[in-house]
Amino acid sequence: MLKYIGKRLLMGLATLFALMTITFFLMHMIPGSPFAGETQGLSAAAKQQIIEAYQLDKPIIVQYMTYLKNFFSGQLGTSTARKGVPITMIIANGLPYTAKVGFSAFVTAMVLGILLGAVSAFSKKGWVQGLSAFVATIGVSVPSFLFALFLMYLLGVNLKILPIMGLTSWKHYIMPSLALALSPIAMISRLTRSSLSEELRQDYMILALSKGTSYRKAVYRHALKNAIIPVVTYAGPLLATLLTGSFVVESLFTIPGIGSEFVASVSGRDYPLIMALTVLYGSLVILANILTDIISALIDPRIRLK
Amino acid sequence: MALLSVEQLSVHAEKEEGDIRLLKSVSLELEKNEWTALMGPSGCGKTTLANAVMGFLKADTFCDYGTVTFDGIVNVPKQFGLDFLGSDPFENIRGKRMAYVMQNVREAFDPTDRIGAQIAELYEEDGFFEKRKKVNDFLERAQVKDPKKVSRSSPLEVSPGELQKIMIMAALEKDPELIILDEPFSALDPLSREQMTDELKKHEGMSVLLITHEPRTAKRLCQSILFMDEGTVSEKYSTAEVSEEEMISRMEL
Amino acid sequence: MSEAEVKMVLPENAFEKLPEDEKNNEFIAMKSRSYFEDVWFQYKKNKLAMVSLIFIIIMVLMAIFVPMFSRYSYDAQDLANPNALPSLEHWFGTDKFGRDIFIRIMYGARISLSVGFAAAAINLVIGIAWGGMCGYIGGRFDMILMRIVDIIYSVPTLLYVILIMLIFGSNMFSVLLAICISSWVGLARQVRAQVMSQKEQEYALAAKVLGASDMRILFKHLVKNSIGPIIVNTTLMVPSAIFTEAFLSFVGIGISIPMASWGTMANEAKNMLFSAPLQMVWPVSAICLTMLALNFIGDGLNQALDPKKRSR
Repeated sequence: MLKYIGKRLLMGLATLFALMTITFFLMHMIPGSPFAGETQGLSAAAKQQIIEAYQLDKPIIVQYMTYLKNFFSGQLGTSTARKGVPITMIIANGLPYTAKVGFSAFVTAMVLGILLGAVSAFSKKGWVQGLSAFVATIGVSVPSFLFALFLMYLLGVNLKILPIMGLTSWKHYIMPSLALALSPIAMISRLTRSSLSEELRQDYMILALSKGTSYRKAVYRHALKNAIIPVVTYAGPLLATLLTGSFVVESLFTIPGIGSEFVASVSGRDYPLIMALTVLYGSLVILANILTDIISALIDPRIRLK
Repeated sequence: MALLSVEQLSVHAEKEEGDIRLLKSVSLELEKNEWTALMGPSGCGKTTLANAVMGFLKADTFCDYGTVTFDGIVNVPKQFGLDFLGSDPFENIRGKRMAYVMQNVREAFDPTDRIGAQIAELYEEDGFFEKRKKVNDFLERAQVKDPKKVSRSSPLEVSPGELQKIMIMAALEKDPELIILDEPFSALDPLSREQMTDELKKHEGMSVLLITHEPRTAKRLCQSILFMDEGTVSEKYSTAEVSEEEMISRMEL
Repeated sequence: MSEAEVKMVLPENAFEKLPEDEKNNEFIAMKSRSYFEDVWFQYKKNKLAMVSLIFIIIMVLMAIFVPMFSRYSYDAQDLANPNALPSLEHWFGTDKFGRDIFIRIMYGARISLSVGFAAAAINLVIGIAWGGMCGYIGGRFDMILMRIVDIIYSVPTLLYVILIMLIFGSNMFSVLLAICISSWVGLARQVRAQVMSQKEQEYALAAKVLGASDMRILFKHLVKNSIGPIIVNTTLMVPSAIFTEAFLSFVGIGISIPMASWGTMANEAKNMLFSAPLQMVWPVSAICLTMLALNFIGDGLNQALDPKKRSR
């Protein structure tokens, strides 16, 4: 097990390294970026500051080393669009909002998805099957940003029951969370449903009943747990996607998270910020993947023993 | 009255190629304290019959006609799954008065649950420490190597032989009146076989339906024998009057 | 005994000639079908998938021909007639510059569908080549290439898509490049696994013994046998590419502005959401219906290609 974790961590580190390298060279390829040697539209002071911070007057290999050193010592530089504001501060301000929205979307998706999947696996009622098929269909065909617009129009503008901007009360969380959770709900319910109906007819369930356990208990104790495993494997990357993939939803609902910052930094060509946020997002995803792999190896010996 | 009687049980499976009749009006009776062997070629429906006696049918398998009666309690086997949430005549008998040792050892245990926890299901009413002690005692009695380690392991980390021993011992734990054994010794070495046979014999008055491929085992353990072929079951013979050669030839049909 | 004695003499009327219409009575075999005929036969049974296929075909035909014969163009403004409601003149109405929305939706279909199909085709080629080589050659070569795949797989795609859009500007080429940079990974893994398992099978060995060249074995036998999952995977890549394009255009870094993509149209309509919600309905329904239809086609193919999932 320790060997597995070690291997997984090493792999994660390699991925992070690859990600940083790719980002570094992509940044140097963007036309008009100070990293590519072009600095129009920047004041002389800002130009000087960037050149110094990233050692842009030195050979590219020195720049690369400086970049890695800065990142691992937590120096992410300062924003060029908002003069002199350290990027660490922008992230520290924005991350809590992003995390809160992403997390509530994650919880919404997991709870509703597993519930819907389990109910439709256990039920023979037509309307339950219909509802789950409907959600699955909507989930695959409606992009989250369009669903967000639809919710805004229906609940915010027409019915006026939910606020459409900001993030100050619990009501503000409902629409962004639902918008982000829609397609994961469809995915999770489909996953839960198919794996649950598979597990319910396994031999170990027959043996559990033969040992005198009631069906209900055997379902709770064995089938549900086994059916959740594929959902867990999906949940880790999902959490990462919800944290990173929220930039459109954030900017639609004017939530001051790092997603909005990312969109702003791209359109404002704030290169140090783009670079820092790209690497930050990437690290979050990598971390989430590692955690998922470790958790699923802990609960499923089939993975551990492979 | 017989302890177990199966009457005109007919079961078919819906397959892609069309319907297959797995059991064709099977009738049999098992008396108290009677050990009966059930032999036949592979795929003739022995495991389907064993499952059906316990009340289970596999996916896409349906019971057309017939009943299984255990000590006056009548049951119609039904497809394994959600229907078992409803009424189930055998619910309070299984594991207590009738026990089952399944053929497929690897799949008979929950792969993500520790063995100890799965054994502990036998002792629902007991408290935490009591349970732990009983699980340890159980594994000692089953004579598995390194009981502590087995208790903590996943079924995937334990050899099929050990699992088979655990399954037999678990079936015997509640001192059942009837036990269905579906190839119970297939993964055991000769020594463990002896040991498990002894354990089975300790239970006096128990009726046994033993599915096996080995004429010698059938002759040694059972008084009577049933032959099965393509979903039909023969009349009952005494094992004394059937030679081992004949048993072999009936399995090669 | 002599031979003459053993010889039996049959009476003239022992056999009767079978009437013409009974000649084939004993012949009960079904008309044999080729693999693709069989798949098509199975696919036709799925009504939803058939409707979806017809929808996509109509969409493709309209995307090709409507702009050729229409008197409007995607960027012709009619400032005298902005935000018009649907009429005989303008079927879907006009936007705030007085541009005909129907023709813009058709141009959008050109972009979306060509991005979708082109991305799927590129992914198909890269995925099969990469996965096929990994699976066939194996060993250290396979290990290194699969590590690269693992890394690409775990890097969040959308970020790179955005950086690539910044580098190459907002045009079709960079949208395609951005979409294709990582989406072949899943297919490559699948092909590799298939090739690995097929390689061990007897017919591959037999082919090798018979002296077929390595490349012929690879393509003729191995890939042919894993064609089912590959087709399904490729079909499902089309909607996901369309989604990415719409997303990028919606954020404002995809296809650049005077061009009409469904994503840019949704983005423009977003600002009119309160005053002219209908303008939002067109691009949104276009995106959703297309994605839905393509997903149904994928499901239908999945069912038709996998014998285990065929409904009885």
